[in-house]
Amino acid sequence: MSRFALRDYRDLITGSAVILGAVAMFVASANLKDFAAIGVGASFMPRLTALLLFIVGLVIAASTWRTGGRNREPLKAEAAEPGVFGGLPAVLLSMVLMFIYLALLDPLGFLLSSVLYAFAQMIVLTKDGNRRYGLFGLCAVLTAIAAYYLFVNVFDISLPAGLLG
Amino acid sequence: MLIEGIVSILNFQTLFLIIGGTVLGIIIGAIPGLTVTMGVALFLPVTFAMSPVDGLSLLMGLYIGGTSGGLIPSILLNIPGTPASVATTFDGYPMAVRGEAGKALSVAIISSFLGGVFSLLVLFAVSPILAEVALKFGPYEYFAVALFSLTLVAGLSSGSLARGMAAAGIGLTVSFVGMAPITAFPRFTFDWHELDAGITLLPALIGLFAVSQILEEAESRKPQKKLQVLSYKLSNLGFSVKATIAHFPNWLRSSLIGTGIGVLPGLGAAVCNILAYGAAKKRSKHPEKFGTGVSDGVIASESSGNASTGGGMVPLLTLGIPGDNTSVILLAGFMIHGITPGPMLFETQSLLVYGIFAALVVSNLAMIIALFGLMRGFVHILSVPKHILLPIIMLLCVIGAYGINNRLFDVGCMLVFGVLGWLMKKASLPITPLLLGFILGPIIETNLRRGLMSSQGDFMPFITEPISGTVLVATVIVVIVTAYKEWTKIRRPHGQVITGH
Repeated sequence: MSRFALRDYRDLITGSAVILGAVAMFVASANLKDFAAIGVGASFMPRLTALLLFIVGLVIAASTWRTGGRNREPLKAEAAEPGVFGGLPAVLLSMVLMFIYLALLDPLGFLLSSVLYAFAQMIVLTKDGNRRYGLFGLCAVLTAIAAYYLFVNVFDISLPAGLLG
Repeated sequence: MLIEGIVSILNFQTLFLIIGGTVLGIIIGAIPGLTVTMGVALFLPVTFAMSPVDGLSLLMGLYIGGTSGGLIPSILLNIPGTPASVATTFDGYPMAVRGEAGKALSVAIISSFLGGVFSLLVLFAVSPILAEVALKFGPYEYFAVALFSLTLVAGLSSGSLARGMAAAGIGLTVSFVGMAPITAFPRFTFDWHELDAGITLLPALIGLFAVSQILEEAESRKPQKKLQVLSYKLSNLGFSVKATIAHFPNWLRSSLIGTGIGVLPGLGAAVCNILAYGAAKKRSKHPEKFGTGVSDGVIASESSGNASTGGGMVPLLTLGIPGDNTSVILLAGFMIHGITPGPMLFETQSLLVYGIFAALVVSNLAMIIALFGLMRGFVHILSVPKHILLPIIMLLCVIGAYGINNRLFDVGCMLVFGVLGWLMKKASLPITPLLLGFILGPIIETNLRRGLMSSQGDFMPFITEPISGTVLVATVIVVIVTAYKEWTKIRRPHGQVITGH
């Protein structure tokens, strides 16, 4: 599906996702035991919320037909210049970097994993191709050290020590 | 009690935290793309080891400074630093282009200060009275008020009731994870013991606001250009005593709008500065001059924007119900120190309450002094590129999320909520109702169940009790009116473009 088509049916996709979530929550609520002798039990609010989500999901999805399958917001094309790294690939890459950062926090520690992550993320976020690796490396190292020292020694917050512990 | 509250903050450490917090808040507010909410959330972990007065004083400084800091890029770059300064660009930037940047900055700073002071006076006067009334609230009233707040936020925050309700429903769903209230039955934990206590608020907040911002920036295809900051000279206060008197009605009206809207859940500074600007233009003898660079526009925007800070504290302190994103973070700040905001706060922690009032006053004073004295430094900070700034912010996010419980699980939650926040922005689902649903969900459910237990399972007292019945009727009216407005907007004559949500 092209990017244009996805935006056209954004309401349908959003509404469908909300409806699916509502159904899933309603089904999951069936396993909740109601111990309440008086009033409502643990499953009441989840089921009520599931019903609410189902209804609003239908309303959102139905707005697709109201607008004739065209998204209400005018499609604004961003000024995409050659060499500018962005869009979904950049988002997915950033997500991957973040989860790798999470995975490395314990074995490597906050300092080392933060330097690696910050350096890589700065490269991904640079839009004009002017990737100043030396500057990025220096900023990553200095800020990771400053943050570690400040929060651990001054504010008394524990952070993973990892290899340097 | 007010004197004792003032005395409680009159020590070097607390004053340093208030002033430092205000300056940091101004820096955060001055950088486009960073929000006050993000700034307060990032510094929450710093308050862990502090006393409640010190910790909350720092957060108040960040709140006041961050709300006002947005005026700098609004005037010098035509980019609002925060949503509270959107309307400042309408006349502030044209004034700067005309060579009156110094005057625009001065007018904005003084208006922001006076608006903040006005709302604090209202806060001092109204809060104790409202707290007295709220002491009489029982489960029926709390249920009704929490439901009303959530409905109001859902209806007003995005312009689409269905989308707002969907976001609120997602927030409620997230709040169900963990132990059910009263019966303590585990819900939706999937046998993960990390979820037994539910999802921790702060990592979710940081993820929704800060991590999603990084993903948005990654997605952007706009080439980075060096920001062209207009030159300025702050040589005097910007206007004479005579002009001050002439502008008084505009300032008073705008401050009233800001404070009033700040009290109502769901709207916040983003709305009040635009409403106040519109009101000032309507009441002006020369409305055609608005938008060309007149002080009246800047006064209206900045007075109302900062006035919303004091107004927003009223429901938070008196009822324990936050009205906007930043209030949610401030609520988290209270909870971290084991304090529950609400009417009992004025009874059991009156010294803390008046200490907070005093901190807000000092912060407003620090704000005006810092903005006049350190303007050059703040302007330099505008030139830090986002591709360097945002990864640094991510490091602070990880510290914040990890530091609460020393669990990598919370960092993982932060990332998940960051992805959720990005997806919600793509789907045009507002974040504020989700947050309010997360916070108010337990309040709604607990008081519903308590109320039913005391009425032996009968739902009628929720309607027949005067306060709860009135509030529930108001809730229904809000839903009907909002739905009707959307319906009439949809049924406009064929050919008109329907834009926005």
